[in-house]
Amino acid sequence: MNCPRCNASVPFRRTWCSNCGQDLRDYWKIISLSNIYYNKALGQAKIRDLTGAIASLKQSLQFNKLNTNARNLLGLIYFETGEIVSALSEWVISKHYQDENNDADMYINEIQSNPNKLEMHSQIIRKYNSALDSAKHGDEDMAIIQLKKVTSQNPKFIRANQLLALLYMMSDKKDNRTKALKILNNIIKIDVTNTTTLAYLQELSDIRPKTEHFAVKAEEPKTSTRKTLPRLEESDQYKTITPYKEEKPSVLPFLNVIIGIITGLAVMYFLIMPHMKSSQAGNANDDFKKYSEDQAAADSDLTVLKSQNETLQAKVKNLQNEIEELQGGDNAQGENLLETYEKLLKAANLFLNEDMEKAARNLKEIDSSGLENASAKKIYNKVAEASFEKASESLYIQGRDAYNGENEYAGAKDYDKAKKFLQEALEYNPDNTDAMYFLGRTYQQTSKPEKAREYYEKIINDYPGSPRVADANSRLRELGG
Amino acid sequence: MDFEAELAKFQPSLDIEQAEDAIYGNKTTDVTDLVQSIINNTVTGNENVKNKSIEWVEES
Repeated sequence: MNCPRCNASVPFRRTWCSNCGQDLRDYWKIISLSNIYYNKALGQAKIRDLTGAIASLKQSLQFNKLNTNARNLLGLIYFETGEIVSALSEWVISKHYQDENNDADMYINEIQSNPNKLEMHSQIIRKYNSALDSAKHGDEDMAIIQLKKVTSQNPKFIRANQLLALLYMMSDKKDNRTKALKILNNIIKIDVTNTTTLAYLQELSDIRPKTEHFAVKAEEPKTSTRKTLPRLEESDQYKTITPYKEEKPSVLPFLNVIIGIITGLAVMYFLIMPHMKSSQAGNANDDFKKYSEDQAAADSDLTVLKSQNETLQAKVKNLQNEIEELQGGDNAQGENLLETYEKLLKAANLFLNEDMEKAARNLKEIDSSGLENASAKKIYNKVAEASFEKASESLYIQGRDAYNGENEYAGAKDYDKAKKFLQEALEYNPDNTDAMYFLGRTYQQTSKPEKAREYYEKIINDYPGSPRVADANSRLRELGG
Repeated sequence: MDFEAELAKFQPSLDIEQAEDAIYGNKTTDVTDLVQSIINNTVTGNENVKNKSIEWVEES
């Protein structure tokens, strides 16, 4: 240090100046006082009594403005409380008084080396000033918004926090006092003896269930809302004691939840649901395919079974037919068949005995369609060919005899029998023109000229080569034709 | 608590551009300056007295 009289350098603790002889004992006392206040401030700063430390450091600097440590510490404390400009000012002054070996160099460089950080501090100060201006002009809401930003950027800015707490405290909203309490509790940790903070906390903690107070207050007319702080209601007392609750309910989180739900639903609808539907459709298709294959296999089996069934049915039917054939079919059919064959055999026997008429009659009783056996049919045809013509001739002769009253019917004409024999003769041989002629004659004699004419004309028209044509013409003339 | 009074206690913070003003406006006079001034005044006073006495002596 230098002598205050001659400015000569004086060794430490020298009580007089070797240059001018000035007594320096009082001077050293002053320097010592400055250091005492500095030490006091250092102790206060360590226990975060920043307000007290600032006061002590200011005292120290009033005694000795060259106390670099005190000035640097004051700058640090200002910086800690968010007072950037004050901190820089102290460090610059410190640098001015002690250009070398000064920690202020480091502090200044730390702030100035980062332009972004410096700009941020500058913005914080401007926002704080703007918020203060808004608050002073009655726009508390705007001030609160700005101060929220300020305190979020620099939570240690004591003044900004105090102003925000004050604005919350003045608000009519119940939750705001809780917010103010939270803010104050935060900044009291930075500066435990800040009188403003303590006063605000006192304002918030000075709440007791005074029923008489509320009773009196209820009768008082409501004055200006800005002039007096609203008192917490009894239920609000617990809010100051209980842990801090979340700030006022905002619409934004609720909106975010809704957006999240909508997004989730959209993702589910557009991504998950189609995948699930596709999986289900795929499973259904697989099931349907499997079912179709099973169905096709079952149909195939059914077709095979039906085919087998039809084959077996046919076999059964054939076997039944064979059985029936072996058994001779049903009784009636068997009897008829037997009767037919019996008649055929009888006719054949009569044919062999040259009894053509009886043979023909027996054949006539046989239904030739019932003869399935080729040999039987052959026999039938051969007997019929030989017997029918002869039977027809024989019957014609009998009929003619009955008509003329000759031979067997001598002296007794019998037109009815003649008609019967002649018709039968025509049955066995439709070309027997003799039988036709005498049948016509019989009808003529029995006064049935039309029937007689019919036979005569048939002979004339159908059998023009017959020897009976002339007779027939003669008889027609008799009939007037 | 008076809100207006409390609010009035809050002063605008100095901007960083205004730091120079703050530095120049800083009160730099301390006790050592006073002591130095006293000493200087004392020395000057003694010399004046000496001179005056000399003068006075001369006059007398």
